Amino acid sequence: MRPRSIRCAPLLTGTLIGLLTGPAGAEPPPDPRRGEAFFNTAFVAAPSPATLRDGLGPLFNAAACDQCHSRRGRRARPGDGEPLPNALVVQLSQRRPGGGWAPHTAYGTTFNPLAVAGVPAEGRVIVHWRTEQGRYADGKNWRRQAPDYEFQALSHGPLGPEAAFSVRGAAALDGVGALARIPAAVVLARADAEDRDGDGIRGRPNWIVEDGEPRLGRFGWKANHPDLESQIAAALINEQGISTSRRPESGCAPPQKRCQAAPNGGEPEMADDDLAALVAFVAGLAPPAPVAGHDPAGHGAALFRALGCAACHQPSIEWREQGQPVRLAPYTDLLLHDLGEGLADHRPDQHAGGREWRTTPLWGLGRARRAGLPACYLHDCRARPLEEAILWHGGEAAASRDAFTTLPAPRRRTLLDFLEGL
Amino acid sequence: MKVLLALALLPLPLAALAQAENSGCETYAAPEQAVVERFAAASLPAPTGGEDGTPARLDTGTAYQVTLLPQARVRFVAEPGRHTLAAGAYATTLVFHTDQAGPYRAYIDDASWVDLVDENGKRVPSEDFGGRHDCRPLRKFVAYSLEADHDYVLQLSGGTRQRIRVLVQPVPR
Repeated sequence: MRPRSIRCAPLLTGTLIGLLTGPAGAEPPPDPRRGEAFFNTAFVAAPSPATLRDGLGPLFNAAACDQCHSRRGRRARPGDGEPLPNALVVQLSQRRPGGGWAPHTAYGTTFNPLAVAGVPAEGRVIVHWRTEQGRYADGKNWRRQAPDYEFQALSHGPLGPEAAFSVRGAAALDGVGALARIPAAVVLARADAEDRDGDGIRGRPNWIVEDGEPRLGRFGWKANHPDLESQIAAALINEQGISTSRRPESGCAPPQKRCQAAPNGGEPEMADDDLAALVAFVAGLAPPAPVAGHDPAGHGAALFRALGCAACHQPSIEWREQGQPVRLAPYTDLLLHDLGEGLADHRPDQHAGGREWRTTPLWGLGRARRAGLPACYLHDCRARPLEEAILWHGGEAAASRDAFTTLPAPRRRTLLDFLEGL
Repeated sequence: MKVLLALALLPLPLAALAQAENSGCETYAAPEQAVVERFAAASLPAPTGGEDGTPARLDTGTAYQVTLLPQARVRFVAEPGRHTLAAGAYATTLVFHTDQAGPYRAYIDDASWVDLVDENGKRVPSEDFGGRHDCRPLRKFVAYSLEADHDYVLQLSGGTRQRIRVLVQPVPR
């Protein structure tokens, strides 16, 4: 068991990038290099002489952050009939009898296909792909694939009719620290939940209530985390079974007795300063750069705007810090949008509804493919190639999708080349 | 999105847990299945040499049981490509010679980070990699394209176990 570490002063994730050494006697700033080591290091089951890295599980999806969060954007889609890879996490909820949602009574908030010795893993999820077809206005056929999931070998009984689940791919992390710096007021300025301007685009924030205070959600597929520490601490406990002072729970659902009886690596298992180092490392990952020669004002960019994509995938966000202009090109507004029934998971998350998704940042979109690595798109990695992701856009984005389908093939290619150059 | 079927089984008895640990092995392709079988052998030879701190020698095509050292005690030929926690980690360096040019794969039964270093001390970029978190006999492999009649150093770092199984072999054409 690890001794409890001295708790660090609370850190504001949004200021991590500009954190300076304080006055003499102040605690040193978090060490991103140490955080990188934690990011790359596989945790092990407790007890272990390696006290810095023990506490894995008892239930988990991967032993190390980098086993799912590829630094080169690699995302491999499972084939038909194959189990979901570790980088595709199944999140769970269960409808409460009186209304609202809670963690699943038998499996908690995350379905864990792996476990330490002596503890049963929760099962596995197999995906089957169902093909849908259509035709572009120019007569060419298009195809997209929808996932159907099969839960097998469930360790604690069936999920039940009140369960909801959502498959979520491991997020690309480059640039998240920059997204954390965007002032909330800048994000909220574009919110239009009532569609007052009548353009069909709403965009609303997800509010995360912590200690009674609402905070703007900005990270996660449904903007369900207000800061990086929240998202990282959630991933550590839900997907690796590593507790922190931010998330001190065991990660074992009530019926899972063997899980609860398994030894842990301390309380918490990751010390505050190590968590701060990990957050500092992730926050310091530079935003991805577009491919050389990429023209943000060329034909592809113009088409991107003309189709209405920029209404949500905001190409540029600007604000001032200490009087100096700051500009990012993330291609996101960080707001929630209704993307229609086709992409719905029907699993609300905080104030996000079952059809709503945070606009995915498109910077770095083409990085994996340019490197010859596998790539797939959307929250559950269903779309491959990139044009399938466009074809899945519905709801507020239906008009843009329909406009895309009316383009002749060369112009569709122009838009795709633009996106793959981001 | 649909749920096709939810199969509920009674909780697995402990005797079946070990089998469940290897349930991911079946999804490997045929070449990796052959390595799974080799790594499942009761005993494997240890590589020769390495007592003086130089890399122990592997023959390509032979599977070995390798004893790693605490990472802080290992002298790497090149800086590992992944910065990992040294505390509690195990590492080693192993050298092998290539008789033929072409694709090779390094297989291990642990989640160690794998680097390959050429005779000039430069890391060789990998061509591909794969692995199964839930396949204990074969945890991962890394693929390279190598030149003939060269020595290469296989560096393992950030490992969680002191004894692991290692195989380096050319990929059959």
